[in-house]
Amino acid sequence: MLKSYNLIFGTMLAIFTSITLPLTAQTKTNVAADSLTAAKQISAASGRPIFAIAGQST
Amino acid sequence: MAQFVPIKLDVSSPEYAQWRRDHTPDGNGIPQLFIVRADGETLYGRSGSLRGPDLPNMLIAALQNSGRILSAREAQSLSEAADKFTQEKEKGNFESAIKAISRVRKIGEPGQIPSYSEPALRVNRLVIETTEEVRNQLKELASQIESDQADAKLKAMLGYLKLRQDFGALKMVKSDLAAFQKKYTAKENKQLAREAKIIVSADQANTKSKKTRAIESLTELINETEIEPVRKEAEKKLSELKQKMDAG
Repeated sequence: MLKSYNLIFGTMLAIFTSITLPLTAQTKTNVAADSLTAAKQISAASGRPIFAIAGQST
Repeated sequence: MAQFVPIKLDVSSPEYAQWRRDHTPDGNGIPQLFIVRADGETLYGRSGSLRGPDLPNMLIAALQNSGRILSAREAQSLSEAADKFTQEKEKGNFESAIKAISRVRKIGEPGQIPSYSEPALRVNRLVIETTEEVRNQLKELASQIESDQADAKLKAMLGYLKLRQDFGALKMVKSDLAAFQKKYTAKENKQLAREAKIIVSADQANTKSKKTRAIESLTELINETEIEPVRKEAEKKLSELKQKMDAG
């Protein structure tokens, strides 16, 4: 079991940025949310899906 | 990644408890990965990290089921169109309402915009509701036209022509209107449909020359029609039109 999910999250982000995903989006602006409420609002307004990683805080 | 809204969740937090109730993952271990569509549908929810090509494959699959992603401008256009549509429809200005909603066609056909964003869902909902209203009205009008009462038939034909004028530009009801027209304005109803059109056109005359022509058409209709309710309706419209002309 990994101890820090911050490490995982960071690793995931690094992987994602190197992946070429099919660009159906009209904009490539990166949107990160600092709270779940904000994430839901951004997602509902734009149609972007939420990518969430749940783990233990460090 | 720009196509996702990334967030970290602490499994000991109250918001995670609620999140887990809404998006139950497969497995209890951590980390847990989730992809949740904009309308709240869980596309992926499992414990354990993904390795190698599994992660990009999962993300690509999730995006394919996530619908269209809107720019801020597109989201605003949809919200404005929905507001305008609602306002105009409430006032009974159906043509204006349809016109307002038609402006967002470049994003997607209203009623079928392939996005799970709230503005798109709202526009779709409004158009689908309106489509259902029009279809219900057409069903009612069809049963009236199928009746053997001349008064009801005329009323229904006038209702259909008004409905076509108001909602004819709405793509989702075009086939319903066309089917109604094909079934109920031909053969035995052909004369009724033709004469009802003259009455509706007269009703819409908004300039002096159009009103003069409408008076001529109505007078001719009154002298020639074999349908008594049409004659009565045409006389009523003619009287109204003459009063308007006299008033100025």
